[in-house]
Amino acid sequence: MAAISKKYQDRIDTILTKIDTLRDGNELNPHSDVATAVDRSKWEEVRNELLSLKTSMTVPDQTEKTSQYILHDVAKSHLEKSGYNLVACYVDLEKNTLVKKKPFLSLSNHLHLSSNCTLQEFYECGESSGLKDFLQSAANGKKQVLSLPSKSLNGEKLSFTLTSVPDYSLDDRLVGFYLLCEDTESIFHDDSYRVVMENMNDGLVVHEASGRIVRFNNSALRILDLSEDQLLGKTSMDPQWGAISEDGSDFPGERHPAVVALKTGMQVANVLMGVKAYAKKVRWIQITATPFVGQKCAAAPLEGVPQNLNVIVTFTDVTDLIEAKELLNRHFSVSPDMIFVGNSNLEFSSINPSFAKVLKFKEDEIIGSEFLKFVHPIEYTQTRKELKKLDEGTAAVEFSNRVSTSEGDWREVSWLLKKDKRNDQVFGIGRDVTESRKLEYGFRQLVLALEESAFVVSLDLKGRVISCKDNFTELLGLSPYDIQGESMELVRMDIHGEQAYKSFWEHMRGQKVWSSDLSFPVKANSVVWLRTVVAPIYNKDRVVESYLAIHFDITSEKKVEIENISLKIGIEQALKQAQESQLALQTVHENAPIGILEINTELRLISVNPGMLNLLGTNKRDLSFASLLDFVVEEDRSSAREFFSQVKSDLSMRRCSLRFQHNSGEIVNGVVVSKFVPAADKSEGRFYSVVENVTALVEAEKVLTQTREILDLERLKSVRNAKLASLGEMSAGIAHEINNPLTIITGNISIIEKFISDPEKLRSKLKVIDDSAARIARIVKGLKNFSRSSDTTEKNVFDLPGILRECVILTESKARLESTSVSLICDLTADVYCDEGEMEQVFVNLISNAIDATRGLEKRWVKVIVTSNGSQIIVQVQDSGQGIPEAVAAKIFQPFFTTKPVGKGTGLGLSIVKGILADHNATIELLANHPCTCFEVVIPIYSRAS
Amino acid sequence: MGIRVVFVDDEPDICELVVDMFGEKDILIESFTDSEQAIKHIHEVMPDLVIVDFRMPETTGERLAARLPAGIPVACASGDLNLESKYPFVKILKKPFEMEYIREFIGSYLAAKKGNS
Repeated sequence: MAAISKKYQDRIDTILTKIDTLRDGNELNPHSDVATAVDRSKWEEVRNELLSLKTSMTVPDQTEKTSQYILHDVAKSHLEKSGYNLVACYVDLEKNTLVKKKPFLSLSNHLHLSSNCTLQEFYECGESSGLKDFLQSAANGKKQVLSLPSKSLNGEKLSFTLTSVPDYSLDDRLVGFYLLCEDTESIFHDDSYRVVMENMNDGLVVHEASGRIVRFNNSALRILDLSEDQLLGKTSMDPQWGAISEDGSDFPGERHPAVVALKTGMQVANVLMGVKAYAKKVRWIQITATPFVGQKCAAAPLEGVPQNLNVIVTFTDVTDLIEAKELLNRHFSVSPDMIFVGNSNLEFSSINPSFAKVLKFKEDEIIGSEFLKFVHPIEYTQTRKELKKLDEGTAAVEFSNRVSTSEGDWREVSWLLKKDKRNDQVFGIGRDVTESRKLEYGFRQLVLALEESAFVVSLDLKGRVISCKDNFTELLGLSPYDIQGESMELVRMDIHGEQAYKSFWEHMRGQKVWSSDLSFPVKANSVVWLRTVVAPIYNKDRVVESYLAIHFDITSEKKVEIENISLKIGIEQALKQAQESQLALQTVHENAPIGILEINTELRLISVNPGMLNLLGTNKRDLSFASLLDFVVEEDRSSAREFFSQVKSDLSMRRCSLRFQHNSGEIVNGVVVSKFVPAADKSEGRFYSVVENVTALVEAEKVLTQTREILDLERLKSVRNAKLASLGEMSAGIAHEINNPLTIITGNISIIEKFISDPEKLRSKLKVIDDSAARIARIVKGLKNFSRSSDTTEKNVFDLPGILRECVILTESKARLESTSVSLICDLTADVYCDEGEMEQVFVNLISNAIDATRGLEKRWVKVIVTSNGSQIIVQVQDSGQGIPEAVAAKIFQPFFTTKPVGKGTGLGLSIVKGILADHNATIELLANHPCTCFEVVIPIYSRAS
Repeated sequence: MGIRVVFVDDEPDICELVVDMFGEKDILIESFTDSEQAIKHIHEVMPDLVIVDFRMPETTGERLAARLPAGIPVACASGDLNLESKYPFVKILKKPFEMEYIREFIGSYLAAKKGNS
């Protein structure tokens, strides 16, 4: 210890004085008179500490003593480190005890002294060798050296040197002495071995023949968590070890490897043992005990063990390993996942309890079975393919399949299999995902159903559209491209404005579900109303990732609501004004061009405005308590009663049409809007009603209907005219058509005698005659249909292709004249509900026009192509013409439009065709962009249901 | 010696009928339903008389007659009630045929030929 300067001593003195003053209370703060005995004792403690510090810092004045103190410290540090050192023991002269250090073992061995000998035994053992005198002098404070002769087991001469070092207390009293020893007695004292022994990571102890531990290294202390005193001299039999074997049972001392090695003289290797001893937790060590011939033991050897037999025991700390293994085992047994180990053929060699539990088999029923044995037959091939990947060198495969349980049901399992190439084993983990898959399927179905019934849109965190179903874009009349990235702009901001915007984001920030009715603009200034529900969508970290908006179309509900609201607003405002101001009421009453009524529950008039009086044509100011029904025409009275009772029952705003009896005898058509307001004081309530005179409107409608009827009649007439016109046009051709078969008939009859001798020829001639006659009959029939009066239409169910065939026959002569071929391409039958004659007229007209269009062309053909789309029959009349110029095409369906020379066409054809078809719910269109001229007629197919 | 008559009509039954009705000694009637074949044949054999139907799918009697060599008399057979033709047919023969009338008509050509020779 270095000398301490006077400066520090002075400072300590100052502090001490201060403490004393404080302690005595001279300068105690008058406010803190709570100073207690504890406080005082604390002060005492601090004072004492400072005093001892002052003492220890006092510089000794004798040089010799300084060196002794330095020596004392060196010895002390040797003692504390207990490493490679020379201090064998310390003799405490005051307490008369012996503190042994490790080298003492050699010394005691050498002296044939027990390692746990007492100080007295130690003093007395060395009488012959002069050790006793040596120790005596040491106890008197002499510093000296003694050399003891010794022999190793193999007869080698060794020297053993002892040095005594006296120990003085701070007040210069002799309190004890150290013995330093240096021996070259055994391998343990050979420097290199010592270094190895002391620094090796494994623990090392040496047992003598008595079984006692006579040597050990630092690692032994560390691993066993024991002090030197606790370890030295201990035997394996000591119950304090608390030794246990791997399965947790007690490890008996006689089976300790050291004991076994001593008794058998054979090495015992790699024995696992748990040692509790004084440590809190069990240390697991792997022990190897090797016997060797060494120091004779002083005490009695174990039974049958030679006195000079020692055993060197080394052990490795495997606590971490064992703990890890236990953890793994625990995991294996408690894991909810199915875990297995299998060989390269995937036969199970070990499975965990969960595995057996999912498959509902006993563990031993599964062990040894093949993985594939449990796989669903449908997934057998797929699973095999995955397993094959493992054989081909893939490190791990992931797949899911269904496996059968002992009860015959199927569980869906998601697998992860790994192959360990070193020992050709397969490790697998499976998770039973049956339930979650079920949920997933259920969820998917739910989503599908939702998408069917609603419009589903995904929004990003800024409320912009990420994706949506086509039905949504179709609804809005937009393309998916238009809608991508759009947000609230889609909504009519003029209606919903900032408020909806704010409310939406407040809910989204709060991760709540937002719901509102929104209107979206669609084409042509109209809107759709959607009941919109927006919910946040979480990702796996429970963080909101996007929003899902679900829209239900409520446009029709909304329309009714809005209508009601606007009516309600109208009336309620009127009422409100009326209540607020008598004058305003008066104004409305007096001046409104509509009737305003207040009616009691018996439908008696409480008040009536001039507008109403006007409507009824009466100037009686006071109609009070007259029944409203008296003014309603008799036929409408019951519906009026029903209307008011309904208004009263649901308190809603309703409207109905009622006819009123005008004073003049005329009937006034009125629209009544009424609302029932229950009285606050539970007396009877009132109907407040508004009546609008719509007679003029009804009259206008009547005129319109009449006009329409007249026009219909005109149309029928022009149909007939046009028919006659085309009949005239056709008659020339038809004559030819009839005269040809007639030629065959008359001609053949006139020469029939020629064939009498040849019956075969005769038969064929008769057939020719018969066919020709049938041909004439067919033409005449078509003509009959065509020319039938059509003032009234006679609709029935006809096969349209049949009608078309007749039309082709009727136009055949005209086609022949123009050298144009007319072909009917049709391989179906289809019933249509039509007037046969009118339908014939349509197609004769179209085909006839088509024939005209081919006139003078190089290629001349007309095709009538019949197809069907299931519910409609589509007839295309095409010709080889170049089509119709756009300017003409726009006008062809107008009446009196014709391109034909005067006298050749009536100009009524196509307009009538169109009219007739409209009458049959059918349409006609000139197909634009068709390579040739093509009229397409679409007629609904008749079905019993329609 | 007889005369050679070519008859063209798109209806085979009529063609057969004409041959049956008028084909006799001294009158050779060849009938065609195909107008192109007929034209080709007429150019080859130069008949004494040609009778054509008026309405045929590919052509009309007028157009056919216009393509025949000059000098051969062409008559037209038609069922039309009032036929207006630009071609100077030597005769319009109405359908249904009046047998005697046609026999007479053909006979006049036979007689003319016989008289010439």
